[in-house]
Formats: sequence, structure tokens, C-alpha cells
Amino acid sequence: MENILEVRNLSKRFGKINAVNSISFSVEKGNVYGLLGPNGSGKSTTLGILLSTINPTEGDWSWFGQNGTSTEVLKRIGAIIEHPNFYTFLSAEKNLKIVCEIKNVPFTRIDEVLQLVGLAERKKDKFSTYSLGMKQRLSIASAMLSNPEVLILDEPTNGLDPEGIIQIREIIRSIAAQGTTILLASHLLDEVEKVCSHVIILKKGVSLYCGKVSAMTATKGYFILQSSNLDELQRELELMCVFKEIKREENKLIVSIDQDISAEKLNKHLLSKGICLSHLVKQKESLEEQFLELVKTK
Amino acid sequence: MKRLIRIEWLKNYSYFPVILFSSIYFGLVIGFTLMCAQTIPIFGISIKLLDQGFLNFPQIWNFLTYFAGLLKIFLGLIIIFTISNEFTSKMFKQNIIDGLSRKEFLFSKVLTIALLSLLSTVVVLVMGLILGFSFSKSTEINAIFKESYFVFGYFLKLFTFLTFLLFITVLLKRVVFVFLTFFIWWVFEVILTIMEYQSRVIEKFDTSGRNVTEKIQLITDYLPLNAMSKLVEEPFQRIRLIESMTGGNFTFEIPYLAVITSIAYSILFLYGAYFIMTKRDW
Repeated sequence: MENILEVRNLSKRFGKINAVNSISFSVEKGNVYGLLGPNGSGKSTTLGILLSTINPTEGDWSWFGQNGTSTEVLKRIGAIIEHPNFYTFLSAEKNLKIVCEIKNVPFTRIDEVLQLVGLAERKKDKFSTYSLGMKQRLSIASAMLSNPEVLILDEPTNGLDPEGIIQIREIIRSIAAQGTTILLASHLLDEVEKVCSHVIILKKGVSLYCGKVSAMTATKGYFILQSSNLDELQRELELMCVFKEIKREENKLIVSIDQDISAEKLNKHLLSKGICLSHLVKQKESLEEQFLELVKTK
Repeated sequence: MKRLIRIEWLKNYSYFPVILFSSIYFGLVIGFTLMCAQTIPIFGISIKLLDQGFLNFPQIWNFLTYFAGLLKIFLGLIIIFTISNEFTSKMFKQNIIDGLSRKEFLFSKVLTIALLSLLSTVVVLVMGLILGFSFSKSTEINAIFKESYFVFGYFLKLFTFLTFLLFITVLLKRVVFVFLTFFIWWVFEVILTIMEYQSRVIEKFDTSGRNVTEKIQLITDYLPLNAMSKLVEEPFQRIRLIESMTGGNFTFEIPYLAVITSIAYSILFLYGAYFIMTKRDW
């Protein structure tokens, strides 16, 4: 796979604070990456460095195999940083004309991208009259003007209402479906889980994990079990020796799997021992649980 | 270059402060020059500029460029407001991310400054020609072009002044801080100049009461605002000289030192602005 972005030992210090502490990761073409981390974990700083607005203290990176970030590279990237930034006194169309001039893109692209985000009818209106959701969609339109190979989104759904969030997600999905590489920074796990195939986890400027969402933890999931006699059930499960941990929560048993076992097999086994289950669910840990696990343990 | 001018045009032509201050500025410049032919009441005394010989070639250039120069703060306001807006609304950062280099950004602003200065110079030039041909005693080619330096001096004065404002706007970003700093700097230069003048220049008068103070090169003439004002000196001195007939003939000299100092400052301010743009985190 072709690497679109490679980051090596990138650091940024603001005075005594290590905003980004020697992080390394790479982004492969065609995937949707989530840059995940709590507030203040260095996500925006990292993106700022990669977009040449912040000077790094140490480290280097390459876009499309070229060292650093040149203006030519920036024209191949579409980026949305924090809040939507536009000239408030100009209409959407005039704002996009400026971006077209900067990126050397013909004005005919304006109507196409406005169509994509559903703002074609409002293009003559001043930016200051737009709602937050519309502003955010306009920044996606602006980022898409040059048909970028990579789209960088920094908290694109921040502050939006549920409808706005769904609209933005749908736009992101449709862009990803065209094969555009996306790097999405977010502190919303659920968002990353819904749209990303890969994830980079940051905490206090250190990268904890970089890889596929599905391969994030090696755990095989867990069962939630219920029965009329929990003590007996627990004793039987312990005898099976395939579980890592058995926890009792109210009237349920949460059983982490050590050696892979199907729900069917477990049910059969327990029946043969004369235990009837009233509730049987096999689950994988959600990204949130995995994330908390990672952040906690390291 | 055309691309950068197009970008600047798109950004600015419907920005309210630009419309406001440019109409005030060009309205005042044109209105003022048109009024020169009329009688103007100043402090209760009616002065007819025509009778004072202001509108004769070649001193009309000195006169017009000096007075039009007093209005340059309105052009300055255009520069302060547009550039400050780029930073306070984070559009500078957005422009960079969109793929405009810092050099291109700065160059687009320099183009705006140059074009504004040029436009103003052309207006003053045209007004001077109109007034001169209507009222000047002499319209010989020689007299018209004799002091055409003032037109260049005026352009350089505006250009240097606006690059100075560009620099402090890039440095401080907010309009209020830029105003304050400019004002403080101005007062600072005035105080320094007075201090140096009082400590180094000894005023002398001859028996007839004429000021024959020896001219010396003041260090404070090298300060930016002083250098700019030396580009186009006030015209009253020469008018008085001619009027009193005591000082003999007024001979005009091109202030080379002020020209070189001003050009040096322009370059310094632009480099300074570029340095800040690259070193700061946006």
C-alpha cells in the first residue's frame, strides 16, 4: 500500500508543555483514519504542524513522499481546522472563488461542491447568515474544491445538533466511498467507530496505538449470561478453564473469553450439565471500552 | 501576480471599511484640490491660495503632495483594517492551509499597498495638472517637470507609511493595539526629535532678525516617520522666502537621504513582517 503521509518522531513544545511528544504514524492511501484522543492530547497541534501553520520543535514528516509541507502539497489536501473560517462579509460563492484562486481550480467546481454539501441554493447569501451546520458543510465544500487526495477533518461535528452530525457523517462517508483518504481528528469515540477503518490514539501528546480499528485489542470478546442459579453457573464456568475473568454484576455474569468459544457451544455444554440459561449474549468490546483500556493501562 | 491581485480584489472590494475609508480619502483629496482655487477661511482669515503663488508650476507639486500627504492616514486605515481582519478572523491561517504561501500572502498585501499608493499618486498628478494648467502663471514644459520629484516622493512616502502599518498590524494583529502603538511611536519620535534639536542645534539670528541657524544632520531624521515626512517638506518656507524677498532664491534639492532611508525602512518592515509570519505558530 502507498503511504500518503509518514510522520516520524514529531514533537512540539509550548514552553514547558509537551503538546506533541515524539509521535510517529503513517497513513495509507484509501483508508479512513481516526485521530483519537481526549481534549488536549495534541490532535490539533499535530494537524497544525502537518498543515504548516505550526512550527515543530523536532521531527519530520513527508506527504506523498516529499519531505515537509509545500504549498503544492497543500493544494492536494483538503483541510478543515476547528471552526469554519471564511470571510463573514462575503457570500459562500465569493469565499469559494478566493479558495479557487488560491488552489488554481476553475470556478466551475464551486457549483459542484456546493451541490455535494447541499448548499447550492444559499450560495449568494452572506456567510454570516449561515447556521453552524451550514458553515461546517461549507468548509467541507471548500476543502473538496480541488478534488483532494487527502481530506483532513478536525472535529467536524463539534457543536452540531444531531441532524447536523448525521449530515456531516453522510457527506464524509460519501467522500470516503470515492476512495479519498480521510484523516479525522475527534474526541468522540462513537464517531470514529462509525466512520473510520483505522485509528491513531493519542494521549498527552504520545501515540498509544496506530492500526486497524478491528485489530486494536487482542481480546476475543465476552459473554453476558443469566440463569436462575448464578452460583452454580459460575462454578461450572470456572471448571471449563476457557475464560479469563468471571465477574458478577447484579444478576448477570460477565465472562471474558480467553480461548475462543462460540455461544452455541457454550449453551450446549451448559445444558448437558443441567444449567438452563435465561440470557446469553456474546459481545466484542466497543471501541470506547478498548480505548479506555488502552489509556488506562499505558 | 495577476492571481494575487484577483485574490486581493475578491477579498476587499466589498469589505465595508475599504469602501468607507477609500471614499472618504479620495473624496477629501479631490475635494481639497478643487477647493484650492477658492477662498478658504482659515482661523478667521480668508486666504486665497491662488494669490499666494501656491498654484504655480513648479511649486504646485510641493504644495499638493504635502497636503494630500496629510490625509494618508485614511489609506492607512484601509491597510490596518484589511490586514487585521485576516488575522483576527483566522483567514491568514486558512489561506495558508488552502495553499497560499506566506510569501504570496505578503506579496499580495504589498501589491495592494503599491496599487493604493499609485492610485493616490495618479489622482494627485491629474489634479495638479488640471489646477496648474488652469491657474499657473507659467505652463512651460520646463516649469511643469522641474520638480516632478515630488510626485515620486509622494508615492514613496505613502508606500513606506503603509508598509510601516503593515508591519505593526502583522506584529500586533488587533486594530486597537495597532492604533495605540502607532500613536505612541509617533509621540516618541516627536519627543526624541525635540530633545535632539534642543541639545544640538544652536539657533542664530543675524542683525535683521533673519534665522541663519546652521543646518546640521540630525540623527532623529533617520527615524521612520521623520524620514517619511522629509520626503515631501512643507511648502510654506519657500512661499515665505519668495514673499519676503529676504532669503533670496529658493533652490529645491532632492532629499536623497530621506529617499534612501525610506526605501531601507520599507524593505526592513516587509522582511520583519515575513519573519513574524514564518516564526509564529498560527
